[in-house]
Parts: sequence; C-alpha cells; structure tokens
Amino acid sequence: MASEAGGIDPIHQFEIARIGPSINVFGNDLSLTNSALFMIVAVVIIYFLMIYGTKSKSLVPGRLQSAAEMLYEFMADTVRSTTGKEGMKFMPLVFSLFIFVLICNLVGLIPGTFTVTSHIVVTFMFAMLVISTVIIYGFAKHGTHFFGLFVPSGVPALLMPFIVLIEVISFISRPISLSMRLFANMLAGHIALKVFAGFIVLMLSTGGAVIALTPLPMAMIVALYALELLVACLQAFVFSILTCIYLNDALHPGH
Amino acid sequence: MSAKTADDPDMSSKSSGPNNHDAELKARLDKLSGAIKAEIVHVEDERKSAAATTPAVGLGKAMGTGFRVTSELVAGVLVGGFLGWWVDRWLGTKPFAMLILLLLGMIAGLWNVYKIAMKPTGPGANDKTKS
Repeated sequence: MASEAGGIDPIHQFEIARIGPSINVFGNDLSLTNSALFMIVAVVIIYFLMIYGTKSKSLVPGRLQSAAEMLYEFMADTVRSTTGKEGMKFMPLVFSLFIFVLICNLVGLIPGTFTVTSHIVVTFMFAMLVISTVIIYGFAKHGTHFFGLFVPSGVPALLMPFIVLIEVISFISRPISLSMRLFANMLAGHIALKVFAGFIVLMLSTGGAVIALTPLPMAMIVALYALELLVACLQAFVFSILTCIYLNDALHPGH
Repeated sequence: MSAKTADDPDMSSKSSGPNNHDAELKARLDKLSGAIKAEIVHVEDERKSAAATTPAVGLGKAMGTGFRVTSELVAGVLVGGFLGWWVDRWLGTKPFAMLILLLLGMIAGLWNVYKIAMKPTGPGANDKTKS
C-alpha cells in the first residue's frame, strides 16, 4: 500500500520488527524487537537522569539534578495529596510508572523512533499491574470489607442489585479506560502527524501550483507536534494520578 | 454554653446582671463564629488559588479531566458490550444479555463521569462523602 499509492503508510510506524538474531527459549520467541529496544532506551535514559543526575547531591542543584528532583517532588506531592500519607508506600510503583510512560512518550516523539506506549498490549499490562495491585492490596488489608467499594450507602434496597451491577461494570472498565486512553492518544497523535507529513509528499509529487500549498500541512505538523508534546506529558500525568485514585480506593474502600 | 461560663471566671465576675451577661456572651459568640467563617473562606480561597496557580496548570488539569471523561464513557460501553457478548455466548441468550449489559455499560460510564464531576478526590474522600 505504501509504495503503490506514492504516499506514506501511517500505520507502518507501529509495526513490530525483529532486530538482530532470533532467540528462542523453550519455544518462546524472545528476540529483541524495536519495541523492546526502545523500552531499553527509555530505561537507560531514566537511569541516566536519576542516577547520574543525583550523583553530585549538591545543595544548589544543577540542571539534571533539578530536573530529577522536580519530577520526584511533583509525583510525591501528587501521591500525598491523592492518597494521603499511607499512600506513600506506593510511591515507587507510581513514580516508576509515571517516569517510564513519560520517557516512552517523549522518546516516541523523536522522528524515526518507536512509540512503545502506542501498543495496547503495553498499556494494558500497565493498567493490569495497577488494578491487580489495588485488588490484592485491598483484599490483604481489608478482607471482604473491600467489597464495600461496590456497595454505596444510602441507596434504596430495591435499587441495590442494579447499583452493585453498575459499580462492578465501572470497576471492570477501569483497566480498559486506563489503558485505552494512553494507547489511543499516542496512536492517534502519531497517525495524525504521519498523515499530514504524507500530504506534503503527495503535494510535491503532484507538482504544479499545488507545491505552493505545502507550507500549510507543514505548519499543521508544527502545531500538532506542540500538542503532542503536551499530550505526551499529560497522559503520563493522568495515568499516574488515576493510579493514585485507584490505590486510594484500595486504602480506603468506602463501606 | 453554660459549662463555658462556669469555666471562665473572668466573664462571670465582670457581668453584673443576667441580661447583661447573656448579651455579652452573644456578642462574643457572634464575634467567634464570624472569625471561623472568615477563616473558612480564607482557607477555601487559598485552596482554590493553589489549584490553579498558573493558567498552564489549569489548562493541564482541565485537559486531563477531559481525557478521563471521554475514556470513561467509551470504556463503559465497551465493557458492557463485551460482557453482554460473553454472557450471550455462555448462556445462549443471543441478543438480550448484550442489550441489557450494553445499556448498563452506558449507565456505568455516565455514572463514572458523574462521580468525577461530583466527588472530591483525596485521602479518605470516600469516607467523608459516603458515611
């Protein structure tokens, strides 16, 4: 499709490709893919930022140190204000998720790279990690009292089964909405960028007076890029704040 | 109130008549409750200004809420539809479970949006609103 239309296939950027030799362990394909490569890249960047950045431990922080400190303080404030003091034991989980999603989103914006978070498998596993933490911790701490999450008080007995069913559906929809929001935003943003880039190629190949119009999609790409930068940071933040809100349910299930 | 006056020898010794005493107490009560109200307003204002210190933070918060609301709506319908399809396949009640659960899914999505709009999120927010 890509070559015959003379344009660009906007979906091609999301294809998983194997890099290097194929590695098989007990019939499981464990070869390095471009997705795995960019996860490693993200982890290396995070390590560099966090370990090298905080190495000097100076009282007046340098650029890297202040970036690392600001990220940490920002997330610590978010966790503290959403889940309270007892929620701080989840800070490592929330912060890891936040920084990994953030760096993956930002790395994906560099042309030619692969966006790890544009695959629903990846984001769904993040969401399942969060939800299983909520469920396991909720049951471990509150036992059957955790079911109180599904039974709001002050509801007439007649409506109770109906409300409980709705609460259960809304609980099941949490990992779906959590993973879908991140994945869909990244996917849609990158497709939109590629489509507008494809317009330029199409216009140039058409030739004639149409070439004069090529700055229009170019300007659109610049605007979209700014928006995508905002969305990349925002989605990481929304993901982590929702993690906090769901963990808050595990810490304090209603009744 | 009476316990308070007994504890406060200063007040009871000063006031001569019972009427005068009551009026004095009432004035004091008004003053104190006025101070409490002013303090509450002050705290609320501070909280509001902290929530939106800069327009950029306000915009980020608003966009975050927007993303949350849209995905909640879609996810509710998806989960309801999937559960319905699954129950239909399991029990052989071809269209009915899906219809009912799809509707319930939509309601659940809307219910989540309602909760986002109405509920304060914070430590122990559940306990406060629901007890």
